Order: sequence, then structure tokens, then C-alpha cells
Amino acid sequence: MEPDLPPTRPGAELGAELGAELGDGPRDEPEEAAAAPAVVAVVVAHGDARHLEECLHALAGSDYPDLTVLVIAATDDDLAIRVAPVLPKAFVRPVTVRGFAAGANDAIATVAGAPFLLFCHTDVVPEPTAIRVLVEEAYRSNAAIIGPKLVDVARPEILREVGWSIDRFGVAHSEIERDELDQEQHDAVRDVFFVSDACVLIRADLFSELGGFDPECDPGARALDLCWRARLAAARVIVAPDARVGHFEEDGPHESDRALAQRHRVRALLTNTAAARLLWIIPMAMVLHFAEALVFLLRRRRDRSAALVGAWTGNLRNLGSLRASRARAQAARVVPDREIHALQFRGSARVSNYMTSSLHADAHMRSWSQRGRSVADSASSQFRTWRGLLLIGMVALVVVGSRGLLLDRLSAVGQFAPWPGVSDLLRSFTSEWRFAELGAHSPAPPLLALAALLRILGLGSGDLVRSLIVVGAIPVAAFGAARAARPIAGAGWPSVVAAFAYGIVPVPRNAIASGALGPLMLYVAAPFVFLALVTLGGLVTFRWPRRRIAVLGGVGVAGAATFWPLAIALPVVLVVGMLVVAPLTRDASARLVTMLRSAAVLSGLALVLLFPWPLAFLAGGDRIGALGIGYDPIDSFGSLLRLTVGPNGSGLGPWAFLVVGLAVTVMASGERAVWCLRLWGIALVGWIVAAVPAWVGSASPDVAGMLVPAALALALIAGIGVATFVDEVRRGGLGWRHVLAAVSAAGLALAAFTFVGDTAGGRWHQPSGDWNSTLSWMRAQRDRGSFRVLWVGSPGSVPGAFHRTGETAFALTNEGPGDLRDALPAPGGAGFAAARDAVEQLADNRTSRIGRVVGPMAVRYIAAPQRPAPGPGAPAAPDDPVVAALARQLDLRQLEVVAGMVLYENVAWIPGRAVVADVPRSRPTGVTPFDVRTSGVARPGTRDSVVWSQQYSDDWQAPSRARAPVTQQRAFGWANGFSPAAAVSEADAITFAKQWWRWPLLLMQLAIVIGLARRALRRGRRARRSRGAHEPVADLVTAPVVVPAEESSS
Amino acid sequence: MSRSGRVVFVALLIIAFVLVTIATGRDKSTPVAVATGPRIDGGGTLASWYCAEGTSSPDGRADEEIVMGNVGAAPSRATITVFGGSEVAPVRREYDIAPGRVVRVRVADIAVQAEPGVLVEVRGGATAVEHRIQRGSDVALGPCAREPADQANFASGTTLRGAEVWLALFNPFPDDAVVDAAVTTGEGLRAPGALQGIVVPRFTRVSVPLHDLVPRADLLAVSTSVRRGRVVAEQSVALDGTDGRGGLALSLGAATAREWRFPAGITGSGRTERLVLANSGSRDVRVTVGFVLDAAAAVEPVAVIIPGATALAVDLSRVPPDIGFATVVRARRPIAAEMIGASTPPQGADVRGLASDLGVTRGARRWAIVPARLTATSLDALALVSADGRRHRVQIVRQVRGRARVLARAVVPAVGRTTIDLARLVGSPDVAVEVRAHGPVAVERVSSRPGFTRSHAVVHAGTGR
Repeated sequence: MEPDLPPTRPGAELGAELGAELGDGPRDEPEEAAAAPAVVAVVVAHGDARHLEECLHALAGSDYPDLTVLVIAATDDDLAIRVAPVLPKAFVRPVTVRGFAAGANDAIATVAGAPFLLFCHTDVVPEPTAIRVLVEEAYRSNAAIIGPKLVDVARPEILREVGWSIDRFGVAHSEIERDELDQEQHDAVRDVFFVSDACVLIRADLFSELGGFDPECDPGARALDLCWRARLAAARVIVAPDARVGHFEEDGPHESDRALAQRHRVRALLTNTAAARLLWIIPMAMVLHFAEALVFLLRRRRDRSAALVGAWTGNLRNLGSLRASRARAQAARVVPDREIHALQFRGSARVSNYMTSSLHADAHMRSWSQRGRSVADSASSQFRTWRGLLLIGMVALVVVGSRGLLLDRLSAVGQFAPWPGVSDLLRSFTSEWRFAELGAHSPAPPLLALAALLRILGLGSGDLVRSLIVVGAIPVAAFGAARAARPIAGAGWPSVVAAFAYGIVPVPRNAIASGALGPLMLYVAAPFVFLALVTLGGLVTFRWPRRRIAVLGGVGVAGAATFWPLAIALPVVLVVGMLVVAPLTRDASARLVTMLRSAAVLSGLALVLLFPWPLAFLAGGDRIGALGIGYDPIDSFGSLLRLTVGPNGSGLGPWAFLVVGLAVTVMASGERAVWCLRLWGIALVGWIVAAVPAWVGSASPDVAGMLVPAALALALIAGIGVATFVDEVRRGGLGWRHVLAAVSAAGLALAAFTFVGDTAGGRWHQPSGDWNSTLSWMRAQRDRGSFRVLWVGSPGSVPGAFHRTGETAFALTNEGPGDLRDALPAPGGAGFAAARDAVEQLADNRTSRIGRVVGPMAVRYIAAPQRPAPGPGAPAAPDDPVVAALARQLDLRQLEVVAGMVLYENVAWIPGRAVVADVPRSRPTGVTPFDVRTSGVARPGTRDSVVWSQQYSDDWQAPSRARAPVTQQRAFGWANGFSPAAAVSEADAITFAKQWWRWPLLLMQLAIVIGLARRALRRGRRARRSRGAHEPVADLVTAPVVVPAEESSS
Repeated sequence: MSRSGRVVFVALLIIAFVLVTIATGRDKSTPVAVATGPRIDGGGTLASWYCAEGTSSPDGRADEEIVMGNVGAAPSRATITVFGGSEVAPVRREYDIAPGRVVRVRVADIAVQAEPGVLVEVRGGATAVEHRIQRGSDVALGPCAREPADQANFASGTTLRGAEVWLALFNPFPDDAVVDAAVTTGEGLRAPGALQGIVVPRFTRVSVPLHDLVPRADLLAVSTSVRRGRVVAEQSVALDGTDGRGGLALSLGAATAREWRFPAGITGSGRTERLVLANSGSRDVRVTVGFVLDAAAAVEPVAVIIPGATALAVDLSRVPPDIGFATVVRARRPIAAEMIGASTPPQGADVRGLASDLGVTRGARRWAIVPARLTATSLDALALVSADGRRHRVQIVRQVRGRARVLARAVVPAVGRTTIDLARLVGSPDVAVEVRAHGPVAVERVSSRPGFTRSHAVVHAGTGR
């Protein structure tokens, strides 16, 4: 039986018929219905239109009195067959165009006489009152575009949409969360930037005036574009939540649609934004897009990454079409862009979208929440045990002992230099020229980038981040020690005691006291590096793939080396330690070779990760100083054995670690004894390396860092001791091993008391003040020109990175007392030699005019601290050679500062960029003093030169005035001179020509990091896939070599 | 590894740890005795010397002459800068000093200033700078300072009738200085308001008339402390002949010390010596004064207790007359000590005068004697004592055409002193000589005719340790 088909008509015929339907002809409706404005529901059917019948059925059930339904069939299927049974009165118009926008636009020509058009997808189900509410609200609010509240068809209590807002970059953002319950929380009528075209009521005249939807924005941005253009035309876009429309939850968009949607959103942005605003919108939007693309690339979502990049390239290709659309949109503009701008919200919707959609943050959050509850439950039950209480107690003591650092601030003693702003850090990192000290053409240390990143994560508070790093070092290191102890000594008490012992060794506390940031970071990284090394060496097994372990171990070494370059040798020291006791442990030579290879891999990976910074150390100059070797060696071997080279850990307590180590070595048996010997080898090598400088009479690296291997080894031995006691000693009869165990326990208790004692001050004996604060006024002295500060004194007093000549340490800081940018200076060159020579002249009493010697280095202040920080303490010794030598200098003016420092201002100072007459080419010496004549302006016709107080390089270029020739020459033997000075433009900066070289290096650095990260992640995924779905992934260690009997029995 | 093996391993570790800890725990550093006071540094030096006392105006209290002597093998070049105050442009002159030679320059020939401060900058060679002041027929010679001092002490003052004591404070640096001075007398501490907060502007010499501020004090020991900035302090004492005492003495301020040596001393036949000890601290100090005689005799040391903030003169009457002697002062706490010698009738008129010396606190191996002779007819001698209680051989060396020529050899006994007559070794007054010893010795020079003066020599610090 043939269905009663609805009429299918060509456009003109259908228009006339629709016109008659809408009032041109006789009407049968009652008076009330005649008062209602006519609405044509334009249902655009394209694709398979699975829910067309439900949609038509709902429209048929609408209580709106003057509703006509027009089905635009933008599909090859004959829809009349499907429409007729549901809504016989509906008009069906087949069209040849494809897509929603083009189909909907057909209504402009087809429909006449209706003041409102209701555009519908085929998958919406309007409630009976929805259309009436929309029309009423259109009149009430004088709105041109009105959207309903979209809810899920199957679960009407779930919200799908209540209008959209966008950010400045055209990225849509909805206030509702995924699967948010409708509790009438969004039921207020309000303005929105755009509404979905799933079901939208539009004033027909406006739709016609705007030219309908832009087919070039279909899919993905047609509604956004239409509403945006309506906004430009001063039309109001609102959402009327009382109008409820069900919406079927379709599958997510196809990837090709997603790519198109990205492109079309960019098109909408470029079409509707004013030209002036585009100047800054485009660059920022591109940065955000490409950053997101990079993230997707890292997550191996190449399609989405390509879609983001293609969004820009696609629009670039269609520039002609874009220009035409833009001309039309801007021609209709009656509202200035600043008013549109005010409707857009600040910030980036992309970030929130990324969190909610790309990362599935909601799901993750739920997952994390569940995991967190699980972990918390587990931790809660574990921490109720004695082991948990021990760890909690230690962490609590760390917090108590660090309260001054947390509540007050971290002093800038030693290497705890303050961090400048993010932009300054990044500018320094991306600069090909290093402006530290006297400058050098040298790669910047990655520490600058790391600090910038951490500062961003710390919401811009450098002090907070520094404090957290320092305070968090001990707990994180203790966690690492627990992890490292687990495969060696076993889980439970052994790993807890190892963590406890590693946490209470005096090494990190003294590192904090003296500002030894590098050794502190090595202390944190050492357990993880050790674990990676022994795993790669085959001494223990680990669940993770070897490649990932190698990468993470390399990251650990690189992380420590970022702060302290010598940390790169940590794997080698660990392996050599195990090698020296190999005759006792009887480790196979093949295994030793593997260990050596593993150490080389870890150090090598770290070098690769730090590339190109390691290249800086190949340059000439003070390589030793650049590596941080310049401290006075520790004469007392007893101090090294006690792991105490500072104010913390006084008394007998620290001896306990040694006692415990010796006792456990005798007490243990089997594989545990072998591990004890290996760890003793590491400790011995660490001590010997730390003691060698004193034995040979040379300068030493920071001893705190040298003691880290020994500290780790002794802590792990303590863990082994507990395992031995639990598994062996406790079960045997009372004997000498019980005595040793008791002695060990008492020793650890004694060490813990020492640890508790050190918490009293709240700062781990770190001074509360610092020279940086005392001399902060210097930063306000730049108005007379850029300058440097020369620090001279003993190695323990000069803050930051310093060089050493004889017994005197010296450092140069720029524009004040220095910050992180002055840390880790490049080894130097002729400039360093000049600075060292000047300090030697001073220390050897070979000059009484040091000001003239260092004047060309722009040294305006010479600071001689007698202690690491200001405050109470012993005054300077009267025969301090540097202080006495400075007092003899005739061109220094003494300034008054707090006790503990002698500060002079150099009256022979030359600003960093100055006009100097008769610049000598050779380096000034104290024996042949010269008179440098400076003038504020260049005098034409003279031999004046512009001296640029950066180390000489052919690549420095001075801007010339009116293209006059400028000759560069070496000034003072190391600096740059440009003559004639009159030809140098004063208004422009002297520039370094090779800056371009930095970018490929940075890209290479980035590529290395990305490559290694991907390699580690890829292997991990493959491994996970190969393991199957039910294998747990949280457990880090699968097969400890030594399994405690307690665990194995259980 | 078996348990017994591990026990042996642990035992070896313990033994090794104990041995290494003991070995490295010993304090291997030994205190190095560094000579204090003016010194010539090693080669390649730009050395500055500061001469505070003296005047260069016709009506000045003491006409000043700069004496520069090069005891090194290389020539040196000196720049003399005379400052007349922060508002007056300094005047500079340059001079070349040949090896082994002495150059004398009257300050008045460079610039006439009422309050001249003289800065001498020497490049190259090994040149010591002293200055000689003259008032009438009285002369005084002493080394210029090599560095400013936070504290300076003088013990030789007296403000009895006919005496003038001038404290000269020289600030050759570009920052102003503020100095406090305290005066210790036999009656205790005096700190007149005028001596507090003395401002010494940059590039300025300031003279303080102590005789006006603290009159009629037989013993007057001055202690200056720098509150801010840097200064060089010198003191001159002039006696106008009242009560038969006349002469001019010059002292360079020194830090307090626990040990002082005065190698040159003699009493009798119109020669008197007065050893003044000043304790500017608040606690009593026990001091032992020992004597080393030229003759084969011994004198009991003198033990005195100096009350806090007090100066006292040590009774030297137990030292036999007409026998040369050296004096060694050892105190429990740092004090100032100064020996004041007077040459009065029956000594001849051309050798009468007053001489003071703050003594030697540390020994040295090399000393510069600049000039070797005060004048061509003067009587000049060196007195040497061992600074470490050991016997040392010494040489008197002069640079001649780039080579060191030994003029004399002598031995400084472990206990006792040695004197060397320079007039027999050197004829010209324009020669500089050097004392080279194999061990630390203390050297003092005595010159007379005209007048009478005494000072300790300048340390040549090239090997002065």
C-alpha cells in the first residue's frame, strides 16, 4: 500500500504554496492562532537522518499554533516516504547541495512571509512547548537568534547545551560540564555568544540579510559564524532554557570533520574579527594552536596535531574565499569590535577545553579521585603502623626544621641565588651570548629554562618555588632511598629504615645551610640514579623496560647536573665503587662490564639531554671553576666519615652511620652481605674522592656533593641491616648479632636525636639574611650606566658561582648583587684571564689602583664579604689579605654596609657602554697604570672609541650613524672597542650577529628531549600492550633479588 | 665472601679510618710570622707609600723631604703626589730611581702646602720610601706608611713645657674619613671632645695639636681608631730645648702587639732611653721587659703590670751605662711600646737630639736601609737582634750595576745583638743597602750628626716570611 506522500515541489512552486500556508490564502485556524507569528521549522536532513521520524513526530506534537514544517532533503534518499507517515502536512524539498549550511540557506529563497525560521537537525526532539517559548522569548527579549536548552533524549535530566561563549581566539566554551545534571541551574534567560544550530529560532529577515549560514564554515563553525555576524549586525543572541529540546547523543565527530571544524573555527575568527585586533589575535592564537599541536604530537595524536596546524594552512590556501567572506561580514558591521570583545571571556578556552575534552580530565579526575581514595585508604592503614609513623615523623620534623625557610624566606647564600622573572630567564636562555661575568659566546645552561618552567608552575613566585625545592629535597630523596632499597633489602621496614636513614644524614642539611643547591639536587637524584644503574647493570630486575629506565636515569643525572655539572660523574663513581670491591663480591666480569656500560649510558644520555651546554666546557678559560671546583678542601677525614661538613650534625650522632654500616656488614649474610660490600665500595670511593683535594693540596668541589654517594650507601646498608634482623637475627637465639643489631639501632636513634636537634632553629642553620638583600639598592644604580660587582674573598664567603686564584675566590655579577643568570658562568676566555689577573694583582699586593685595572670591566663595586651572609658573627680578621689589600687601593671609595662585608665603590669605573679616549689595546696592569678618560658624548674628529664591556667577539656589531664606517678593535686586551665613537649611533643597541645560530640549537635541544621522551613512552606502551590488560602497572619492582622471608611466606 | 672475611674487611676499615682520621686531624698549619709595618712587596708592583707628617711651607713646623731608595736590581719609577686638600688639585712629579740608589725630594720643591699629604707610587724595582723632617737643626727620619690602618698607637708623647706633639692624619683616598683619638697618660685615659669625630676629608692631611688639647702630661700615649674611611697616622714630637731637652722625633703609628723588640739602646754619657708602655685596654696587662747586653753580662728582666688605660715608663736604671743593649718587651695582651732616646750634653752639639722608635714586632729576613747614610758626614749604624732566638748570618748588600755586592757579613747571635757601622761601608748618602739574613732578625738604624734619629728599617717582603 502506497503511503500518503507529502508534496514534493520545486522551489518557486513550494514558495507559493508555503506563502499560502502562511497566510496569503484563506485560513481555517481560530482567532487566537491567527495572532501568533508564523514559524517555519526548517529540518535539514543530510546523511542518514536516523532520527528524522522522532524529530518530525515531536514537531507534529508542538503546541505552537502556526507552525509549518519544511524538510530540506540534502541527501540522495527519498525522504518523502519517511516524512509522510509521520507528518503528512510537511513539505519536503529535495536539494542538490550537501551539508547543513547549504541546505538551510535554501530556505532563504524557499520561505516567504514567515517572520521566524526554526532550523532543526534531524536528531532533535523539541518538547511541545519549546517553539512557543522560543517565539515568546524572541519578542520579550527582542532577540534575533534564540536557542533552547538541549538535553539528552534518553536521559532528559542530563544537560547537553545551554548556549556558548567564546574566548578572544574564537574557541568555544560551555559553562556546563560533561553529563551535568539539569537542576535548573542554567534556567535563566541570558545572552550568549552563540547557540547551536541543532535547534535554533532565527528572525527570518536577519537570516536573509546575513546571507544565511556560511557554507565554508560547515562543519564546525557555522553557528558560531552566523551568530558572530549577527552580533556584528547588532542582533541579540540569547538562550531560553525554558524551551527544552531533546538531542540524541551522536558519536564524536570523525577525524576529518574535526580537522575541518578546526579550520572553520579559524576561518570564523579571521572573518569576524576587526583588522586592528587581528594584529595581536593571530600571533597569539597561532602560539596556542601550535602549543596544543605539540602536546598532541607528544601524545602521539598526530591526526589532531595535524588538524591544528592544518587549520591555519588550509585558510592560507583559501585566502580569496576568506577575503570575500570577511568583506561581507565587515560590511554588515554596525557594532565596534571592542563591544564584541567585551562579550568574549578572557583567557583561553583552549586550555579548559583541552583539560575537559582532550585529556578527558573529568574521567581522569574521577579516576584519580578513585585512585586517591584508594591510596589514601591504603596509606591511612599503612601510616597507622609504626613504619608509617616513623616516616610521618621524619617528614614532620623536616617541616618543623624548615619552618623558617617556609614562613620567612630562603636566603640567597651560596648557590641559592634569587631567580629573576620568567621573561628574563627565557631571554637569557635563548640568547646566543651569555651575559654572565664578562660575557661569552657560549650555550646557556638549561637551568635557566628549568627555572623559568618551575617559576611558571609556581604561579610566578620564584621564592616559593625555591623554598619548596629546598624543603622538599629531603622527603623526595627519602622516597628515592626507599625505592632504591626495595629491590636490595626488600619492602616494608628495610626500605622505610633506609629512607629514614637517608633523610637524617647531615649532608642535605649542611647543603641547605651553605646554599649548596647543586649537591642538594644530587642528593635527591642519587637514589633514583643508583636504582637505574643497578637495574641496567642486571643486579636487580625491574618491571619497566630498560630503555625507559635508561632514559629516566639519564634524566635524573641531567637534572642534578643542571644544578651541579660534576653530578654527571655520579654513575661512574657508583660503578667504580662496586668495581673496587669486585674481588670481594665476586661479581662476574661480564656484569661489571655491563655496569660500566650502563654508567656510560646514563652519563651519556645526561650529556645529550643537556646539549649544547656541555660544549661550553670545551672552551678555554677556567674550566675547573666552571665545574664548581674552588672550595677549600676538608682536611679532617673524620668530618668526611661523619658526613658532616657544616654546622648541622654536630656531636657523636653522625658517627652512628659508620657504626651501623660496619655492624651490618658483619651481621648480614648471603646476597645481603654482597650488597653491603658493594655499598661499602661506593662509600669508600666517595670518601676518597672527597679527601683527595686535601691530600694533594688542590681546590675541592663542594664537599657536600662529594659525600652523597657515601650517604646513600650507608643508608641502604642500614636498610639491609633491618632486613637481616627481621629475617635472620630475630629468629635465631640470642647472640652477638643481637648485640650488633642493638648497637645499630642505638646508633640510628642517636643520629635521629642529632637530626631533631638541628630542627631547633627552623632554618637548618642557614643564615636568615643574605648579601643579595643587603645590596639590593645596587639595582637602582643603573641610571649611570650598566655595571658589575666584583666579589672577592675566601671561597666560603663569596656567594654564587666563583673562580679561585690562589687562596682568593672571586666572582662577577651584573647590574647588582647577582641572580641565577650569573650562576654557572661559562669558563670564559680573555675576559676571564683579565679578571683573574686583576684579582691576583690585588691579592698579591701588586697594585694600589685596582679600580683602574677593573674599571674597563665596568666594575663599579667591589665587595669583600667575610662571611656567607650578614648578621652577627666574628668580624673580619685584621690581617685578612684581601681586606688589607683593598684598604690600600687609592681609587676605591669605601661604602658603609653591615658588619661582615667591606664594600668599595670604584671611582675609576667605566660604564658597560662608554665613550673612552685613547683606548689601549693591551690589558691594564697594576704596574703600568693608565688614565682612562671617559666622556658622555662622542667628540667628532677625535680618537674616541665606544667601549662595549663584553668579551671581544667579531660578531658584536655597533650600529653606525648615517652609514658611517665603524671599525671594531680589541680594547683593553679583551673587550670590544668601536671607533670612531662619533660614527656609532647612540640610540641603537650594540648587537650580537650570531643570535640566529641559537635557534637551530634550541630546536635540536627540543628535538632531543622530545625524541627521548617519545622513545621512553613508546616502549612503555608496547610493553603494556604485550603484558595484557590484567597485569597491574602500579608496582614498580617485580622481582627483588632478595625477598624477605616474611613476604615470601605470606 | 665468608663472615670471617667480612670481619677482617671491617677490621681493616676501622684501622684505616682511625689512622687516616688521626693523621688528617692534626693541625699541620703552622703560624707564619709575617713582618708588620712598612714593607716592600715583590716584583711587578705598583706600591703606594703614604707620608703623613711634615710641612712644605716656609713657616711650617717641620720641613719634609721624601727619601726613596731602590734596593732591588731593576730600576723603578716613582710618582710623588702632593695633596693639599680636597679642594686643591694635587701636584705630581715623576722620578726614576736606579738600583742601589737613593733619590731625595723636598716636598716644598713640588708644592708649597701648609698641610701637605704625600703619596708616592712606585712601579718596578724594590724601592722603600722614607721621609725626613727637619726643624732647625733637629732631624727625624722614618719610613712612610704602606697602608692605612684602622688603629694606630703612639707612646712617645710628652706635653710638658716646651714640647709640641702633632698628630698628623692623612687621607689620600677618595672617601672622607672620621677618626676618634684617645690619649692615655700616667694618670689614666683622657678623651677630649676635640679628639672625637675628627673629620679627615678625602685627599687631605689634618694636623691635631695634642699639646694644646692635653697639656702638661709627662707621658702621653695616643691611640687612634677609624670610625669611617681610611687614614694614615703619624706623630711628631718636638722639644724646644727647655730644661735642656731638645730635638725632633717622628713615629709611624702601629698596631698593638704582644712582643716588641728595640735593638738599638744605650745609656750614659748624656744618652738616655725611656721605654713607654701604653695599655689602652680596660684590663691590666702583665709585661716582662728583658735586656740583651753587648757585654758579657746579664740584667734581670723587669716585670711590670700596666693598669688599664694607663701609660707608664719602665725603669731602665738597672741597665749598665755605656753598654749597648737591646730590649725585648713581652706582654700578656697587646700593648703599644715605644723607646725614646735623647742625646744631651756632654754629647756634642751636632749629635744632640731626640729619637723615638715604635720597635719591631716581627722579625724578617730582608730589610731595606734607605738611605744608608743620612748625610755624607753622619754617623749611621745598624743594630740587629735575632727574632727567633737562633743564630743567623747576615749580609749587607748593595746593588751595583745590576748585581748584588756584599759589603759586609756578620752574625747575629741567638742571644745578643750585632751592630754594623754603615759609615765604614758606604760613603755616599745616596746609596741604599739591604740587610739579608738567613733567619728572622729585627733591624734598627741609628743616625746622628746632624741631630739624632732612630727608626726601624723597612722590611723587604719578597722573602719576608
